[in-house]
Amino acid sequence: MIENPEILAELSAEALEHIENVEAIIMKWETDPKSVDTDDVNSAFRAIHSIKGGFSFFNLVKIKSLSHAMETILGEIRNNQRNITGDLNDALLKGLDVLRVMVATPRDSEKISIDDLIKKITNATMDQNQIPVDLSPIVERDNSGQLAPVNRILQTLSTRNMSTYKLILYSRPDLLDRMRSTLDFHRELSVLGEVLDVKIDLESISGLDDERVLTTGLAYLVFFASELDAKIISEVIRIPSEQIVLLFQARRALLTNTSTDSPIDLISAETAEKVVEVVVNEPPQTSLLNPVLPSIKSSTTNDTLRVKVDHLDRLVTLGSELVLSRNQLQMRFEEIVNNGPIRSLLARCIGDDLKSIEGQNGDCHAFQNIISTELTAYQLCDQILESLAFRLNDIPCLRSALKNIDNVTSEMQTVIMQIRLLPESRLFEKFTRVVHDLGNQLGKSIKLIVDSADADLDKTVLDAITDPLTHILRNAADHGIETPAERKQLGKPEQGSIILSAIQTGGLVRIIIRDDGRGINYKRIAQVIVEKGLLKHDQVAKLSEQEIIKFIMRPGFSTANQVTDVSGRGVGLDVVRTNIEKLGGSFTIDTAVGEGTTFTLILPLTLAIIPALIVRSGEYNYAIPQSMIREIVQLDGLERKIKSIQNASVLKLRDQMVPVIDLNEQLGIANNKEKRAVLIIQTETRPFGLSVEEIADGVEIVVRPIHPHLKSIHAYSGATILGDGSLCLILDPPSIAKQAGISYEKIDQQNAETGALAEQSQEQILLIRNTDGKFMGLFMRDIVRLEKVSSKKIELVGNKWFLQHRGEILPLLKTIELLPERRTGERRVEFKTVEDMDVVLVNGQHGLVGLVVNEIYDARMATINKSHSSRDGVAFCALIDEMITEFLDIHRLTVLADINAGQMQTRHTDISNTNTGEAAQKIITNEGI
Amino acid sequence: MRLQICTFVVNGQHIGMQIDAVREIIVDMPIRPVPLAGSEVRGLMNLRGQIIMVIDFRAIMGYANDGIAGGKSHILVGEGGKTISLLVDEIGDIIEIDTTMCDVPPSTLSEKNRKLFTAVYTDEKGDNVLIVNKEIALSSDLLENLCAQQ
Repeated sequence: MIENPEILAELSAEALEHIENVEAIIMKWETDPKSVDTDDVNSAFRAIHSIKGGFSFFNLVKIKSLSHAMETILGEIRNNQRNITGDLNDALLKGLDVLRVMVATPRDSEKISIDDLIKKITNATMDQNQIPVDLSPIVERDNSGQLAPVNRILQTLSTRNMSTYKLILYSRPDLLDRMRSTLDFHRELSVLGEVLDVKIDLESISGLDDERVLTTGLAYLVFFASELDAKIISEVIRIPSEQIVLLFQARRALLTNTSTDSPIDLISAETAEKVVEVVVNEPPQTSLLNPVLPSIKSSTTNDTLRVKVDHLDRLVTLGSELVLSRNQLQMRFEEIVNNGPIRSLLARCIGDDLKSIEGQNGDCHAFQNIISTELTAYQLCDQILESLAFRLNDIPCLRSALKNIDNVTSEMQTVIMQIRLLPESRLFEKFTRVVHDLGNQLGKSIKLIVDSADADLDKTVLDAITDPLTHILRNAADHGIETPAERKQLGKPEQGSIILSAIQTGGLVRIIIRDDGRGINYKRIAQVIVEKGLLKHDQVAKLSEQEIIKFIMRPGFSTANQVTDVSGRGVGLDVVRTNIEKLGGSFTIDTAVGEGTTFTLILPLTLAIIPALIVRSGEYNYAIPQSMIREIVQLDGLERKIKSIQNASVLKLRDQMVPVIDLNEQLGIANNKEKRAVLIIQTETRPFGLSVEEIADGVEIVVRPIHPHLKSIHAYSGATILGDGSLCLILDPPSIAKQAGISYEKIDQQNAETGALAEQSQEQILLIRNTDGKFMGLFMRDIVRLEKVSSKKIELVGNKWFLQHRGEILPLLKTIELLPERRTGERRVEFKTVEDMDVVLVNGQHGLVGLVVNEIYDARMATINKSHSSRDGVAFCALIDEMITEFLDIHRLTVLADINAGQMQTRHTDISNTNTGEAAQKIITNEGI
Repeated sequence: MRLQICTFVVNGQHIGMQIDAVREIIVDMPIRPVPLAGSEVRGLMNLRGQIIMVIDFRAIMGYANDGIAGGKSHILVGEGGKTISLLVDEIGDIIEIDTTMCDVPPSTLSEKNRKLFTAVYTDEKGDNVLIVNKEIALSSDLLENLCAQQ
C-alpha cells in the first residue's frame, strides 16, 4: 500500500475532476438521453475506472467498491445492457455525491457506510428486463476449500461480462527482471479483475536441468477473470500478450458475434476455446479497447492542466515586470536614436566652457578662437551623432528585434491575463445538477438550458457569484415554476424551463436567468406587504408595479406560502443584491405575470484589474479605485472652494454640504500646497470629500496585497506597480474617513441648513436603524447635535447613565431598552462593549438629553403622513421610503426613563444651544454669499 | 559544527546571519515610504515585480529613529509573499565560524537584542559579530513581534 499523502492529495484532486465530468455526462442523459453517445459513456466509464484504479493502490476499499459498482453499471450501459432511466440516473448521482465526499477525504472514506447505496445503484433498474447483477463472490469454495464446479464459476462470470483468461507467467523475465514479486503481480492483477486460481506449471517441466527452466524460470499459470480485453491486460500488467490465453469470452462479445438475444448456454472450456479463436483473431472492438487504455493515459488526452495559483500569480507579476522593462528599453532606444542625452551633454559642455570664458577678461582674439573651436567641435560631434543614429536605425535586426519583443510581450501579457479566467460553463454545468435536484425535491419537472457564449470570468468572480446564482435558481424553481398540474392547466409544457445565459460585452459580463413560470405576482406581494404591516392598503395602491417588485429584494420578505427546504425563509434576494453590488455589479428583475421572470446580473470580468485614479500627495502618488469615486470637483478657489465651519472643512456641492477630509492631513504628510481637487467618495451612507493636491492620471491597476504587517494601517487596501515601475499605495477612502472620524455633527448642520430652505410641506428627519433593521425617526428640529461618543465618557451614577460631554453632564436614554418590548432579541445596550456609540442630543423638556441609538442611518427630507402609534414612547408611525418608521416621543421617553431632568438642568446646556444656533446661522450666511 | 555566516554592519556593530536564511542581497533600490506605518518600516520596494516591505534593521535592534539615512543594502529573508527586506548599513564578508567558538550574548544587551541574537563570535580581526537567531530571521512574524516590542 502506498502511504504518500502528496500522491493521495493529487489523486483526490484528479478524482474530483473526474466526478465533475461524469456528473456533467449524467446530467446530459437526464435532459436528453439521445444526446449521449458512446464517447460520453466511455469517458464516464473511464473516469470512474480511473478513480477505482487510483484509490485501490491505497487500499481504500470503500472507494474501490463504490466506484466498482458504478463502473459496472456504466459498463452495462455502454454495452446496451441497461437502459438509462431516471432511477438509474438518480442512483448514479447519489453515488457520485458520496464518492465525491469519499475522495475528498480519502482517509475518512472507510468510515462511510455504502452498502445501501451500492445496492441502490446496482438495483436501480431491476424492474426492467435487465440482467440482475450478482455480487456474490465469483469463486465459491465449499467448506473444504475446494473450488465450486467450473461450470458454476463460468456461469457467474458470464453474467458479469467477465472473460476468463489463462496467464502464463515466467518467473525470470516477467517477475525477476521487472523487479516485482509474485505478490506485487497479484496486486496489479486484482485491480483489473479477479484471480481465480494460481498454480505452478509443473507439467511442462521435464526436470531441473530442463534448459527452458534455466532461462525463463518457473512458469506460473494464473486463471484470471476480467471484463477487459487481453490486449489491455497485457499492457497493464506488462507481460507479452502471447502469454495471455483467452479461455472463455465474455457474453457481450458472443452476443455481438452471434447476433442473438437468447441467453448463451453454458459452454464448456473446450468449446469456449474455439470461440476464443474466432474472437481473438478479430480486430479489437472499440468498445472493449476504449475503456481502460485511455484511462491509463487519460492525463494526456485532457487539454487542461492543473497549475498552482502561486505560480500563476508569480507569472502575472513577472509578465507585468516584463512590460515595464520593454517600455524602458524602447524609451532608451528612442533616446539614443534621437541623441537626446548626448546632445544635452554636449550643450552643457559648451555652456561650461563659455562660462569659464566669462571669467577671463578682454582678449578678443582668444575669445573668438575658443568660440570657433567650440563650434567646430560641436558640429563634428553632431555629425558623428547623426551618423550614429543613422547606423542604429540601420542595424536591421535591432529595430525589428525590439519590435518583436514589443509584440511578444503584449501578446504574452494578454495570454497571462487570460489564464486566470475560467469559462463560466464550468460553473453553469454544475447548476444543471442543482436544478435537477430542486425539481425532484419540489415535485416539479424543471429543465435548465445553459446558453453561455464562452464568456470567461475571473476565478474570484466566478467563486463569488456561485451563491447568488444558486439563490436565484432556487427562487425561480420554487416561486417561479408552477407544478406540472398547474402548467398543464395553463397550456404550458409540463416541464418548466430555466434559461441561464451569459453574454460578454466589453469588460462586463451579463448573466441572465429567465424562467417560464408564473412571473412575480405583484398583487400577491402587495398583499403580503399589507399582511406584514409594512404599508397600509391605500399606500400600497399608490405604488407602481416596479416599486412593489422591489420589495422582494428586502430582507425577510418572502411570499412563499410555506417555508420549504428550498426557499421561503426570506433571506434571499437581498443577499443576492448585496453580494452582486459588493463585486461592483448590478442586479435587476423583470417580470411578466404568467410568462415568467428574468433576473439580470451585470458583473465585471475580473476583480484583479481595476480602473483607478492616481492622485498626488506630497512627493508620492496614491491610487483610489474609480468605483468609489462619485465625482471629481476641481477647485477654482472662487465659487468652488473648501470652506471651514467650526474647524471642519466642507464643500458645497450643488445644494448639499459635503464634509471634506484632507488626504495629506490624514496621511501625516506636509500640508503646504494648495488643494486642486476634491474627490467625492461614495460610501454606504453619505458621501464625503477627499481633498488632494493634484489628480495625476486615470489608469488600470493590478491590486497586489501589501505585507500583513502593514494591514494594521487601515488607510491602504493594497499596493500596485505603475507603468513606470514605481510603487503606488492604493487608498481605502472609507477607512480613512472612519479614522478621520467624520462627525455626524457636520451632517447635522448641513441638514439644518437645507431644512431652512426646504418647502414647508416637507420635514427634515433623522432616520435611526435598530439592530433588527427597523427604522425609527426623529424630527431634525428636535435635535441639537449628533455625537460619536466613546464608552469611556459614560458613567453609571446611581442607577442612571450619564454622559460627560464638553464639560456637561447629560442624562443618557437607552432608547431600545426604554420602549416596551415588541420583539425578542438583544435589547440591552452594553455601554462597556461599544467603542463608539451614536448619541443623538435632543432638547428634552428640561434640557439636553442624549439618546443612545444603534445606528444613525440617514438624514433627509420627507413628507410625513402620521398614523397610529405602535407602542408607548412612540408618537406615531409614518412611512419613510416604503418603510414603516416609528417616530419617537422624546417627552414620553424621558418620563419612561423616570428622569428628573430638572436636577440635570445646567447653564451649560443653554450655552451649547446658543452655540449651535449661531453655527447654523453662520452656515446660512456663508452660503448666502 | 561549522556554519556559513553572511556578515553585515548596522550602526557600527558587526552582525552575522546564517547564509541559508538569506534569500538574496541587493543594494541601492528605490524605496517608497508608507505614511502612517511604524518607524521600523522604511517603505516598500519593487523587486522584479514583487512588492516587498523594507524593515530597518536599526529599528529591530531598538535604535531610535535618529534621522540617519542608514544603509542602502537589503538582505532579503522569508519566503514567498512574506519576504521582507532588512535594511542594513553595509554588507560584509561571508565567513565560516565554528559554533564551539561562539559565546552567549552578554547579558548587558537589551532584552530585545538577547532575543534577536543567539551568539557572539570574535572574528580574526577581533571584531565581535553578533549572530542573528535563525528562527527569527526566517520568520517574518517573529521579526514583526520584535518590532512591535519597541
